[in-house]
Amino acid sequence: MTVKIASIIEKDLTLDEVVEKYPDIPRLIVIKIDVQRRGVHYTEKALEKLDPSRHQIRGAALFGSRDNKLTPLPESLILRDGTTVLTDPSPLEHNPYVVDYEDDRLVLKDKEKVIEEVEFWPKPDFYGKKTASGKPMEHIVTARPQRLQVMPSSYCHFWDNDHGCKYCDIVNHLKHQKAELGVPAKLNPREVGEVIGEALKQQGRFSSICLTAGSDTRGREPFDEEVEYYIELLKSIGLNFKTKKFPSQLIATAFTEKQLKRLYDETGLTGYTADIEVLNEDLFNWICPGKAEWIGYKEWKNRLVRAVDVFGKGNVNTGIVAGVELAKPYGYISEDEALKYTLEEAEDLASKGVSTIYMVWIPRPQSYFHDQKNASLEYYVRLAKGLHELRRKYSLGIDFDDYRRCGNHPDGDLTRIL
Amino acid sequence: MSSEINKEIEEIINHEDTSKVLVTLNENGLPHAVVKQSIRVSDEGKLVYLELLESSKSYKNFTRSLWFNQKVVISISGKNGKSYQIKGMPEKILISGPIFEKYYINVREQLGDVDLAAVCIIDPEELTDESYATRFSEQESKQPIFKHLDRLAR
Repeated sequence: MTVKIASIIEKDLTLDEVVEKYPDIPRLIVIKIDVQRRGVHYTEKALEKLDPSRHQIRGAALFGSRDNKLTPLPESLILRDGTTVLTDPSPLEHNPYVVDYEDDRLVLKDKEKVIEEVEFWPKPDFYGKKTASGKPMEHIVTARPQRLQVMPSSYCHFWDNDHGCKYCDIVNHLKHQKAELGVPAKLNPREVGEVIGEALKQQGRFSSICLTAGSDTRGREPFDEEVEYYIELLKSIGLNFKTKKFPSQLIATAFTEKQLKRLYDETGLTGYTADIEVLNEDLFNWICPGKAEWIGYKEWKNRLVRAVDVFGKGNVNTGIVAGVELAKPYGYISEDEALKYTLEEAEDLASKGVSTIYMVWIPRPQSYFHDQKNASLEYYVRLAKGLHELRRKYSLGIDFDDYRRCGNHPDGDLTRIL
Repeated sequence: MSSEINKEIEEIINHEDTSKVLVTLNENGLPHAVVKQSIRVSDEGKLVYLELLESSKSYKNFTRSLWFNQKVVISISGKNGKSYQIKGMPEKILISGPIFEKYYINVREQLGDVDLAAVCIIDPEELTDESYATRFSEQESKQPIFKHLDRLAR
């Protein structure tokens, strides 16, 4: 298996070759993509520089990682342009980038070649503190360099009848995390508000709050319970602010207009994301059977468009797990074809005010697609370029989900200079 | 490649009465010159400018310059008549971490309810003395024909 992976990687263009072929895409963003695509491995020397009093250690997360472990490693990396790289610790046999320490600095290496200087994420002040009920605050709210992240429920009800998304490991990871770290499966809104209040004491640290969780199909109308829970959470968070609205993003199921209006009118929420995951109806039905069963591809798209009426242009987007459109056996055969049809669908959404952003697909060990391979570096670069050009063409901002307020979308990072 | 900024020039740059202009290039190659009074020399000998606006053209241009290896220019003019131009490479953009937070707190103490988007660090590469007295004396000695004749008339 190791030989197989290595030979496939050799056929693809290398980092340097891609950088040379696409001179209008910044090298740092290409590096970010490739690091996400291949994962990282930390050397002992790099880990000796990890200082838990200054650096953020890997903690509670919605999804697992390629090493399938919860050992205390650095949470992630930041590049010298402020670009965040959400890293995925990977076994060495997967050919990851290596984070090492040499010449008095942390560096990213490809085999022995130094690629770029990197830094660990800084630890937020609220990490290590406890809530009034004695829970570690970092189990309730987590951090990125400029974002507060709330994962209110790590259970997805699409898994009830085995209709979870095929690239996703959310419920399996939840069990792992709950057993080993004691991270609660569902958060108490009052406690979330308490931790956010503590986090805001750190001046200059955070610029947005993001809530994301698994889907909850229950309620009078499907997903009413999910909506009700988010409203409760957002109201509790909102008590910390003197304004009704605060910079925030909800990544959730595609809700009806009535449900979206409630979210917008009753809370401080400003941005909304409903991830469609893959931009092809047949592949959506295959890869996301729960979403297909409860909402359907066309209706998912319709609900995104209607969300623009509620939240406004530039405040609604959808995420795709880039690369799953090439999953075997039903995905596109060629990357050219995948790119063409994905961008066509993204353009349809962009023309109606909905931006598409991507995450690099990581075939996680606890997911159905665990033994598949993600796309080439060149594919991800072309996709980033294509989505960025659509945003330029349709004057679509992505401020609420950009390099600072999120940092997980290479295509979105490009909008920094628009 | 770094150019050293001596103590005298550092004092001029760091002085609050000095006029400081940052020049960046936009995506069409047009210069964008803006007064940035926050420009100063760091303890490490780098130039630092505080970008208060996430939406500013300078910040976009600076990011583009860091991404695509373009230089930026800083022009300073001190109260004593001394003027310098420094060409440098954008080296780092800090948007988080202890140094960013230190500047964030500091700038808000000084300016009130403002925000801080980034701490931008420039590696100074080339420093030229653009003070009129210096440049005039240089020209008079190297290109003596560059003058009006009446200045030489009896």
